[in-house]
Amino acid sequence: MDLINGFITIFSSPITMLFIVMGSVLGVVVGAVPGLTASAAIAMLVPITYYIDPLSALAFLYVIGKAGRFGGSISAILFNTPGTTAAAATILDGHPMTQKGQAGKALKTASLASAIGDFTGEILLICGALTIATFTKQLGPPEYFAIYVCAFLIIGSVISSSVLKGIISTLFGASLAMIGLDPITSEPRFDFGMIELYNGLSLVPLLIGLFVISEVFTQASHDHSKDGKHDTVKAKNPEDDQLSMSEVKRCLPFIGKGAGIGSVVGLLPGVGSAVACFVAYGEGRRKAKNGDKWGTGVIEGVAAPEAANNAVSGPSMIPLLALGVPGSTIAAMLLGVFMIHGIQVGPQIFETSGDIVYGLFAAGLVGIVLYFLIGWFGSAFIGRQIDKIPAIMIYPSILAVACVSAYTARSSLFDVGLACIFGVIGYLMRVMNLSTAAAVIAFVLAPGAEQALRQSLMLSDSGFAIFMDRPVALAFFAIPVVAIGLRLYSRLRAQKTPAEMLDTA
Amino acid sequence: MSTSDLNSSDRQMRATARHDLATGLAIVALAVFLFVESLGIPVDPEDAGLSSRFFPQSICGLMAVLGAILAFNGARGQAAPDDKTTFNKTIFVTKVLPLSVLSFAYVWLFQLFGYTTATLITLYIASYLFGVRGKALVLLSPICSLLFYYLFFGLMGVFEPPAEIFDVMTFLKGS
Repeated sequence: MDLINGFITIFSSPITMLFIVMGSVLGVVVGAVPGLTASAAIAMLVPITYYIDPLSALAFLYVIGKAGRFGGSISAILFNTPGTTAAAATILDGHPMTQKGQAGKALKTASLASAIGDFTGEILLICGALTIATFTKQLGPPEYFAIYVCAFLIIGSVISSSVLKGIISTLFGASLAMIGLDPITSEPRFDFGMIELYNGLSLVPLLIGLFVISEVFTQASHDHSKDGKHDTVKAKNPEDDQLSMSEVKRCLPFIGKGAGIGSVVGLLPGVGSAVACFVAYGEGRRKAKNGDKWGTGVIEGVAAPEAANNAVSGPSMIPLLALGVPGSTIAAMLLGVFMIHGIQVGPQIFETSGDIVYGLFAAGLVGIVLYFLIGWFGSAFIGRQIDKIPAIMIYPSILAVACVSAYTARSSLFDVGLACIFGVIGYLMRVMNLSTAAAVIAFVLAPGAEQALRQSLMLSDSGFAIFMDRPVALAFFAIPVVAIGLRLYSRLRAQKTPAEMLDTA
Repeated sequence: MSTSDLNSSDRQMRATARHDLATGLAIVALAVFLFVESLGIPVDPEDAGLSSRFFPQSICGLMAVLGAILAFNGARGQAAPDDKTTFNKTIFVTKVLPLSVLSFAYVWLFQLFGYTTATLITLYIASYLFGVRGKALVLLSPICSLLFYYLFFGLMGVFEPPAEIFDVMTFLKGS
């Protein structure tokens, strides 16, 4: 019933619908431009949402995130370059299909699989978030602190190829969050005598610097002189551009499995679409009867990863809505938008701002239908148009938009300077294999974690021993310890195996 | 695996270890700097629970320890198996540094000459640095500058700060 009200809310507001349509188109286009991710686009567009109503703002950014994940498959299939990391596994069979003249079939498969995967994830979000929120309402500050620590460590340990660098990235983000007023005593901290830092760092320049300006710097460091137009291989037969019913039936089991994998991966903080697509591809290949042909251009090899990477979208919002703890960069940015509009995120949100939450769910479902239609009928056209515009012309314009976006948020030139500083820091983090995403998520999580810890200790006469009396908190503390332990153990085993092989040789 | 592959992965690992040493030392330096700064945070002795310094100092402490481990591993020539850094000093100095200096100059130009002139100049130089040449170089910056101006300051109604020296848009609007 609440969801129906959500649909009524968005359909009765032409402005919200306009933003959902714009979000779908923009998301697909942005996702299809190699190097420009949905996260970067959202980071640039967060300031714009200051000027529109909260539901339109959230729906716009949420739909960009969804459509952007699908958009990445267009350049992966057509140009052998994934538009986003989420589409990295789509290349394996998508581009060989293009070389065989079956680009149309591959793009239609990607559209269908993405839409079904995303729909599955969205249903899980709608059913799961409220259920979990009912349980989490009973949690107190000690449990919340344990959840924050769990999120910090899980994100830090899985987001980078080095556990050490992942955790350093989260600590760096957390240290930036310490700038500003103390959340309990309101004492100024780390303001370095600058009035602009008295209230803390604003999220917008941080996002724009770490995600957008650093990407422009990264693109500047690439040699674009060899970028040329990609050859289009025309379909030899009309059916090469179509997806038949029998082919859809062949793909459905892989789409279902991919959607399941993506939904589970989406629930884990920090793991993301890039992992989901490779897990689904590997699992699909292992189970497929034609597994030996995967990698040569089979539609199942496009369907499985595409369903998985889009299925991540909905479940990745569950920790945000049920706990107020963002598990992904897009969720962290949406939390920023909720905060800008004065909406308290957490288990109470379904009661205090239910109209916005269900409107957002409805917008997500409408967005899925829209990007499916855009993908089915227009992805080849979008791909061709993007191929016509040289990357060297796109990135200077993005730098200009990024700077003005940073200014727009608070009409502050200080924020533009800050975004430029974080642009350089973000570039250095990327090349040193530190994670900008982990830093941003930690920046958003840290104030809540500090508040929860200090409130916990105020509640207790026995200091840190309060956590020992809370079994839920202990369980959350144990999760990352086990996860990191397993990862280190598997690495030790992997290192040991070649050594043993050498010994026996 | 061939000998050349082994040599190349060995070279990559040594480069990553070298970069990890530098990164680790930078992290330790940042942590120490923030820790020293945190000593200036006012503390109320009668405050119940943890003081305002506890959380920042804990983060600095952890960062310093992990940074030191990263630097130590780097000094020993060790890096995580999949950990690959891609820093290239020449590329940084010739391509990234000029662009980052330009982005800081943009803030200064914005203050002195207003949005349009600052964006026009910055976009022109940025396009040149990216390798845009010919008609596109001439047309891209004025078209984008005006387009973004009307989008942000016209359509969205963002506050436009007055230029300290001269703003071309004031002149154009006035005539």
